[in-house]
Amino acid sequence: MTTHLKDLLDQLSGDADWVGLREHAEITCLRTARNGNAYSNSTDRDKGIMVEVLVDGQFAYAGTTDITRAGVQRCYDRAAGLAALANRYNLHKFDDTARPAGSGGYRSAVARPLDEITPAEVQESLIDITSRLKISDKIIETQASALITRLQVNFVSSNGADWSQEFSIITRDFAATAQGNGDFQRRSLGMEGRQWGAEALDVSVMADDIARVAEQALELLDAEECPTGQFDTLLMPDQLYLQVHESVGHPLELDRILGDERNYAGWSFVSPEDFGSLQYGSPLLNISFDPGLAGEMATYRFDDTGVAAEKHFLIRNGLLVRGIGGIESQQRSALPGVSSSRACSWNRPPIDRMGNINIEPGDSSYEDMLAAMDRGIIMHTNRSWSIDDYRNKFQFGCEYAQQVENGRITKTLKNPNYRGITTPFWNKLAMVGDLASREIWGSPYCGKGEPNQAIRVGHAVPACLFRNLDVFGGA
Amino acid sequence: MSSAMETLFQRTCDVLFADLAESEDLNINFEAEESLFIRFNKSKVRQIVDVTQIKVSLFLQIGKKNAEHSLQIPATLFETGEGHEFLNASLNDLRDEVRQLPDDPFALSMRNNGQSREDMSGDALPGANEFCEQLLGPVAGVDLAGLLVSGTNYVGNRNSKGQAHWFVTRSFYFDYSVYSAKEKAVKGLYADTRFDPGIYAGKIAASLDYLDQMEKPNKVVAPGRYRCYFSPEAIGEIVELMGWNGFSRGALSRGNSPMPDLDSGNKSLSPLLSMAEDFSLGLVPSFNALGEPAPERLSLISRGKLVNLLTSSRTAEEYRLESNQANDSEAPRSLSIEPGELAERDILKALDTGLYISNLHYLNWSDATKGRITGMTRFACFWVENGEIVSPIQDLRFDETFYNFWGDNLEALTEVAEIQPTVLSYDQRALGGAKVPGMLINNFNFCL
Ligand SMILES: [Zn+2]
Repeated sequence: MTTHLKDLLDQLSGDADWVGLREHAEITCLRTARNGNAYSNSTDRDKGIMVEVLVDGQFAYAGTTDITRAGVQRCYDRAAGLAALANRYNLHKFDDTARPAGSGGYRSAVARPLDEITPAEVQESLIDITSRLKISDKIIETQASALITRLQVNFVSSNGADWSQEFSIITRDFAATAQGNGDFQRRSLGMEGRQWGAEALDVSVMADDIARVAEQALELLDAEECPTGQFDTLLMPDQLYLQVHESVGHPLELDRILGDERNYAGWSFVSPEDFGSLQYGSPLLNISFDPGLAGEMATYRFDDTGVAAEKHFLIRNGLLVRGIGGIESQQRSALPGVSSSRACSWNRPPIDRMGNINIEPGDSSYEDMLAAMDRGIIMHTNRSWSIDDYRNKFQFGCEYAQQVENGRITKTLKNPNYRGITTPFWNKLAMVGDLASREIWGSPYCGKGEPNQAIRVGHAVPACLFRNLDVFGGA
Repeated sequence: MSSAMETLFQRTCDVLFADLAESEDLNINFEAEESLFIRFNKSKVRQIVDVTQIKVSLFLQIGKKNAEHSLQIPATLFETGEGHEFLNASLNDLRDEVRQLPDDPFALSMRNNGQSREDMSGDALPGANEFCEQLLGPVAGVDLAGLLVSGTNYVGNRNSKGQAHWFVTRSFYFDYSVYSAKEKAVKGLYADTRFDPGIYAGKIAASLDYLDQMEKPNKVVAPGRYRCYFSPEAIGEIVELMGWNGFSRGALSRGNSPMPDLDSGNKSLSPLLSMAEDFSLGLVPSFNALGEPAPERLSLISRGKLVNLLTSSRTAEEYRLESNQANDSEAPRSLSIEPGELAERDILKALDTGLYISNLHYLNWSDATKGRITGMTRFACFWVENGEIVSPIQDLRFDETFYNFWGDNLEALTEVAEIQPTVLSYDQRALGGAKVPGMLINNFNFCL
């Protein structure tokens, strides 16, 4: 798949110390339906090349949609000029060890390839979902969407890198909004993003979830407000994944710790000395960077600097041991990192990103955790999220909650929220769900970077029980 | 004068329109940019990137069926002789898709919404070299992080009914923050179409002055209700969140809006508060993706009463309403809040005792249909006593409804509203912004 890129590379003339060509070709379709009708069908075909050069230890980048010999040469010359200029203000001298010469390929594992499903069939499934969600006149709005991505990334470099990766990714969602008792309540599947194929759009497989979502939307209209107070709280995977994302993933990013992100996404409460010494959570907490778990959104063989991807523990038995930073940040900070330099597209340089950041399953069943709550709350499906720029003070809201009394679910609660501070929160972790409770979630829209980059990240997490969280309800 | 980019746009449209059948209508959007991005950390260059990108979006309608395909094209599309073939093949792909899709019951019939042309390409901007020298010169020895974005944005729209718009703007912004040895920070922004070293030096000096005031130890403010002054930057953050369903007429119909209580008259906001969508700010073209020109000024809230919500033609079609030519997301593109009477020099005196909040961070709806918003204070925020700054604060989380803070608790607005240009660059450099004053607000709820 990289033959044309190698030809372009061979034809370049110039005297940069290193040059790499990263081609990114992505076709993303967003299809939506509402209330039993097609609503929108848009497809974005994004294709271009980022020319990356290294001159006297300074990287510089120039990107173009002009994938011809002349177009790539122009970018090479421009990038080389920018590198020479930036060298007068160089932050850190790199060499080509920051761009290893990986070679090989990767392809998402799918049951049914995306080209086996037509736009009409996708739209038919979505319309079907929105029709099934309309189980009552009280449901005033039903929606379904599929964000379908075929992505190919090719990379070649002057020191011999030659790799190619092909991804098949779908983020699916559907929702019902109910109105009654002077209230509106929206219940959804939760944006479910994974690497998979057309099998993700099989309505018959989703039928139970569709029925559940519609019923729960109605149920919420008659539900009590979530109470205020301290409660043992069971966070289900469709909420907990975002808690991991915001309060473990982001603060462990080495470029945040190094200050690159201070002006936009933020800094981190974690300092370099904390690696190997900070008790981030209770001894039950094991968090990994796992680029090899099939189906997660950020499963890959190489990051966008060509570093081969490997699983590593970031937090082991509650102790912080490793950061989320690619090879450039590792060289700058002398801290241990992972293969996570990633670019959202051809028009942005790679920066430190989460890949798949997972909670390793424990040994408690869902029933064990329920039985361990005398007075507790179970929260399902994220709907609100916010955290400060150092990643300390967070607040989350969910769509649906259940009250637990003496180990039994007693009622449904609406507008559940909780707030806390990162390390005290993770140290309240009391039970970790087993493999059976683990679910794969992820987000296609993790944002950071200057210029901004939105990227796909995966989170495979079990349900987990936390003691005495600060819980509260709606306005 | 037409640029090479405009020629590319016009020729692309001509080729595509020539290929249309009688039953087909095509709306074409063109978004191109030539951008330089220089990312700084510790007053050094962390990354330097040059990007040229040209996106053409084709919205094809055949009867009640429609779909949109967007593609990146090279500036040299017509130089190789393959331009026609490429565009015709792209249109054929789109046709194949549209024909197989079900009807869209709320499809709009395409119309000629007129012509417009606005070229604000102005003077050439400094090159990368000059920018590095000018920006870093005044901050020698200062710990600065930030992003320079500089270049030209081109926005075009034509449709097969004869509508034609063209908009060009050339500008830069330097979005920065400066840091003390104790990790205290002050945020700044310099955005313009012409770089003036004197203005920049003044901004940096002001930021460093603030940073000096940050040197005192943080005051830990306990959660509770406080009297607060919010700077225009902080209000800009609130306004940006409000764009997420807050002013959307479609969201109100779909049960996903914070406005039901304001719309029904159950609640009202302060008579001090008036805001409008105002394209005279010139930040963004007034035509939307359908090429519909919006009214130059559309009142949204007048003296605390809801006057209009942003209504796209599609929402209007679905719910049988009047369109006000909003874009698809029905988010403000150029919001303007009317200033009040509080003079800059009187802000601290009027605040008396409470919090001076320069910046907010990571806002989100915490109870969307009731208008409750949570978020964090960020950068230079101070505890003020008897009209004097006492010390910086440890960041606080708030959780409060706009019915409270823009209702009875809104006490005053500053007499000067400032333009807060959008500084986002996801996928592409964003245009737009808001013009907002600072606000004095009583009993604002901080929870953590
Ligand atoms: Zn994120």
